[in-house]
Amino acid sequence: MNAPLLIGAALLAIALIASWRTWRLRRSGRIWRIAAQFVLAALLYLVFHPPQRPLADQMLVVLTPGITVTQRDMLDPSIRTVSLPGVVPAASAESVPDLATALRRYPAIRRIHVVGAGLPARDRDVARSRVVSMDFSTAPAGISELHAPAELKAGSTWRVHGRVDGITEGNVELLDRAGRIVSRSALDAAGRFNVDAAVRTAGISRFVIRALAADEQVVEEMPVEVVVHAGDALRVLLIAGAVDAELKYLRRWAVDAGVELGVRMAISRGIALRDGVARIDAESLGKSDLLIADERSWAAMSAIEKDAVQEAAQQGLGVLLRVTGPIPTSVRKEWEALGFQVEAAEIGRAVMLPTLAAGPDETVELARRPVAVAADDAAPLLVAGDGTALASWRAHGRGRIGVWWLEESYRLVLAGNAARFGMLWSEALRTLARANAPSPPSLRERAWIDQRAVVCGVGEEAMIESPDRVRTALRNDPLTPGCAAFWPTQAGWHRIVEGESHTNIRVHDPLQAPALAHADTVQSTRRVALGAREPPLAVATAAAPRWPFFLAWLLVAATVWWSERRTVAETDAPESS
Amino acid sequence: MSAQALHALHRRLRVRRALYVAAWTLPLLIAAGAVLLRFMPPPWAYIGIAILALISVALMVRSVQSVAMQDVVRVLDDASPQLEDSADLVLGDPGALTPLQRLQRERVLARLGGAASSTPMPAFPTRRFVFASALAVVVFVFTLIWPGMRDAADSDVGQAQREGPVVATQTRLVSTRIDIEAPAYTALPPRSESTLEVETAEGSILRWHVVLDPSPSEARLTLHDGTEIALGREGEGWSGTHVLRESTLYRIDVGDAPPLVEDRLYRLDAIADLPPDIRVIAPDRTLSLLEQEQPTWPLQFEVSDDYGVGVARLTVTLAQGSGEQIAISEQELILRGAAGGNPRQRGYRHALDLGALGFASGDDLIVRLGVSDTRTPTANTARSASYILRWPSKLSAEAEGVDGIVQKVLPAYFRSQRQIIIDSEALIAERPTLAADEFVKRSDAIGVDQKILRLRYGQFLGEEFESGGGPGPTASEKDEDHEHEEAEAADAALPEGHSPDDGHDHTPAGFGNASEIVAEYGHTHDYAEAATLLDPETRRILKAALAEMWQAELQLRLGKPADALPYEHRALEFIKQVQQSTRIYLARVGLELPQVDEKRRLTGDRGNARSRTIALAAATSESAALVAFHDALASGGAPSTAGFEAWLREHETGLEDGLGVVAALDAWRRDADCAPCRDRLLDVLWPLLPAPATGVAQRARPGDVADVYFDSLREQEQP
Repeated sequence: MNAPLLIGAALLAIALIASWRTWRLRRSGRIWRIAAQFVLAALLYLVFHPPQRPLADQMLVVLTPGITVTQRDMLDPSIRTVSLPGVVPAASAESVPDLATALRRYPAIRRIHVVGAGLPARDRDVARSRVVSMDFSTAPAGISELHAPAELKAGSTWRVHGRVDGITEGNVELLDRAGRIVSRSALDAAGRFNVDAAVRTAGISRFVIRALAADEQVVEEMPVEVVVHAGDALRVLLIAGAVDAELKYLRRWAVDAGVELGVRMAISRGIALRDGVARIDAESLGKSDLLIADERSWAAMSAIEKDAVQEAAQQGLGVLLRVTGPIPTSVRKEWEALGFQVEAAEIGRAVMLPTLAAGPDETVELARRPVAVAADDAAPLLVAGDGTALASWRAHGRGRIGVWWLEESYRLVLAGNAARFGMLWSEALRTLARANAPSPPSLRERAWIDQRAVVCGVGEEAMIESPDRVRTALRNDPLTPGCAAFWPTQAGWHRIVEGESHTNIRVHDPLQAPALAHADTVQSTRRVALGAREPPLAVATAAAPRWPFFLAWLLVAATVWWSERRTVAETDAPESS
Repeated sequence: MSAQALHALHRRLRVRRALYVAAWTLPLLIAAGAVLLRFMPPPWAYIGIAILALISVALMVRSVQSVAMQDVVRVLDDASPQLEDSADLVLGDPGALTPLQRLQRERVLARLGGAASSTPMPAFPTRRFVFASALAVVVFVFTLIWPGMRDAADSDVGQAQREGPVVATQTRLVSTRIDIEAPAYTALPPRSESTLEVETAEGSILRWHVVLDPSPSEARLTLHDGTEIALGREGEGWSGTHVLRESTLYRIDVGDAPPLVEDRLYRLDAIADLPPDIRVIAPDRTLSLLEQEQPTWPLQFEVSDDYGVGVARLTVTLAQGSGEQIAISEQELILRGAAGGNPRQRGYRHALDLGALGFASGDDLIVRLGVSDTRTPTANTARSASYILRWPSKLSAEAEGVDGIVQKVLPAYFRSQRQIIIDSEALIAERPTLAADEFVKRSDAIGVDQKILRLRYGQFLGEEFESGGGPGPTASEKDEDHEHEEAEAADAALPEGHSPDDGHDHTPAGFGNASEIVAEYGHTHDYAEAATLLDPETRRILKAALAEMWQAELQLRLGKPADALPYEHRALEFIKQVQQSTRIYLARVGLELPQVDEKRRLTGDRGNARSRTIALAAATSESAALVAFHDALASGGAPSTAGFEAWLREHETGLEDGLGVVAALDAWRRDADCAPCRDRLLDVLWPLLPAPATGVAQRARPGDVADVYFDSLREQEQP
């Protein structure tokens, strides 16, 4: 039984008893007095439990850190305003420790107007679906957007792209740790840039990105660091109908990159050059990650072998079919069954790859097979500089099958650009090969000092190790399994330690990258605001004030008492007189 | 007895109080002073000590002032009951007292002397004093053993003196100065650097002035390559001199003295003097054609150098004539730059007067500017490209389009037949005036010429040089079997009126040298048909010319120049024909595959061809030691430097900044815990790392849900 009901019942009981007693007195006007008992009981009940009434829709202006003087001057004093910590309090604003406190103080608030750089992470959850409008302060000049991979494989070229705010024209330079400019890109009209650099051995590679104004003044400089791992040891079967230069360079790259290669290159009927084990059977294919074959070796495969390849592909094996010459009709039909229609076409053979920002000029002319490959559900695997595809792939069960009709990619190596050749094939192998790597823990969003950082893909026992080697347990999030959070207090590389495995993640310092921190806050606040378009909350209500009911009760009670007293006096007077 | 005793007591009390305050503030003052001197720069420390001393004095003054006469009275009253609490009466004016008080005053005065002398003084503040002293001792010891600050205070002589009594475990560099005197030609003013690392022009004289504390018994600078520069005593310090020829690293070596505080490699960078940079403004192309009515050829150059531009020499080469008649004359002009201005940048303008040079149709005028700078002892010299002004002749237009495969027949070899005819005709004309012997002798000399000429042509046909047989019987013994001697003989036997440089060739040097080699190392045994240099038609004509020459030589050697003339003329005719087909076609040499074995072809017999294993191993990098060292260092370890040092020794000269690597390695090795040193070393190693083959990433396992999804997709595909 709850309190209102208990109180109601008690009051009702008292009223009933009082009514009964009043009835028994058999005095004049007792009907009125009995009625008064119930009125009093009802009023008393309302004093204890005043009725809920809907609240008027109110707007709250929240001043957030990073507010500018102009924004402060434009505040409307008639609207309720609170300022969060980190804001110099304005005269018209009330300082609150956080937004939740402000919302508890003013329950009527259903709309929030954010002024300043945006809500800090702490206040975002409580503001969800309430923020309706924002007036963001202008971002500090600098790099406001930065996209860079967190992890790379040794020897690959990585690309950093992003946007610089606050300068209309200028350049962005990427410097390596020795201070040499590796890549330089001019800002486009939207302030976007695109720089790339090659990383070397495994470890943490340090770079510095620098935004320069048109007069070469440094606008902002911040470190960009990337974790480099050694390449995964993929197991690849390479079978070819003949030897050619492409295979020579492909094998050289693959072996150097740590790929376990099984090679069978036919040179005549029944005679082949071998390296490692390259058997086409269920067992061997099941152990491999990728099969690279050309149309001649495909034609030479037996039906059992082809079935084994198909079945293995369904189970996750990647298959790369190289087109190196005219395709026999039987092979064409079989490849059609795999989803690719490869027809000879009248197209030019010369082709160039798209250019990268850094590295030598890509003037190397490569050759492609003059074929047209049609596949309904295929995605491009490699695109030429003119936008035409040079290879494409499609999913086949759990595996992927690709067709590759670029020839003579080895010319890149001959032209001194072995790195590009490696990137080309590494990308192709990554896309097609069996997906079998464990997924390492990763950050949900960029991590900042003094803000909750969420990592996903971690187990229950994961620990976080700060740059000064202090280990703390991660707090697991019961709602999203596999995700956990910690509160970084130091910038730099943290390690997520899970048993024997380590993953490096980086925590940023907002003082080192003010523009980026500002942009991240703005972005997160916008995301919070997106929730405001959801159906509005149930109409907010609040208890009506108690004092009118109490006053009414007092009035009624006083009236009844006064009338009682008079009645008693009237009754007594005749008796005494 | 009077109030004097009372005043004396007052004074004594005051002094005693002042001493007590001094007793406990002095240890504190000493301790605070030690701390200030230890951790603050001297002026501030002294100011601090003065302030503290003032505070201490103020405390004493206050304590003295706080002892009032009433206090003395109270003390007296407390200490001596016989004063009957009436000591204050002594202070008062006796006139203002009541008679009873006066009486009491007399009594008190009488007892005062004894009471005053027996009054105990306030107790010594033992606890306060002990506490202050203990604190002072602790603080003092702390300042002595505190490790910081010592390294930073390198130029602070005062501190060094204070630390003097402590036994020095390290030698400090009290002051350093390097006087730099750049070579005179650079015109750089002498300067001084207070650092130990300098960057200056090569050839500069560096003079070190180093003051070390404690002063070692000997000191020297050890260069990176092991050279030592002895430092001599100079007043308090040491000095030494070195001429900087190339960038190097050095270390200050103090012998047996304690090691230096910062014992590391310092760097000397020599800025090399670069050769002048020549910019050619006019002409704007390497080959310009003469325009109509062009009297002069304007030239304009701009030269810049890092210290000063020296002499500019313009080499003008005029190549006149064509075909057989190319004469080359060369002259050198010294250009004068525009007056005044910057000695590091000069502009040169010169207009070549074509008329004065004798420039004519078909000629080429070639100019090239050579500029030296002012460097001593040897100047750097730069040369511009050659610029050609051509007066086009009609003939040269024919060769358009086929330049690549057509070469002009070497005209020099075809020159002298005409000369032999001229010589012969001159000899015939002179015959009446000559003795018979002389005539035959000169005729024979012409014959020798003719022979040499014939042999030269014979070479074109692949004939053996010696095919012509020995010289005639009248030839002297100089004419041996060896061609070079013959050539000399021919040279020596030039007819009168001919000199070796009279415009036609008597002995082409290049040819003679080639034949010398052939003569020295063996005979050529070519056969004429294999000489691929000439096309069959040219070869036929040349052969005919040779036959005519042979006849002409025969007649000349017989002393019959008149009979030789028709042959000579015919030979010239043939040579002219060869000249007119002035082209040699060179065969292109292509891929020559071995012959297909037709017997085995299409038989299905594969002989002993078998499947083979062609294993491929991952490439081993020659920089493996570097990579291993870098990786170990980057992961925070302290790897052994042996392998890396071996690598560095081998590659140091090829590196862009080898000295920087050596210096960074040395700094890290001296203090392996120094994080900035490690970072610096990693920084300089990074550019040296080889680019490994691009690694492959494997996609992450998509999870069970994805597997189910893909499997159901497959079932839909194959209903």
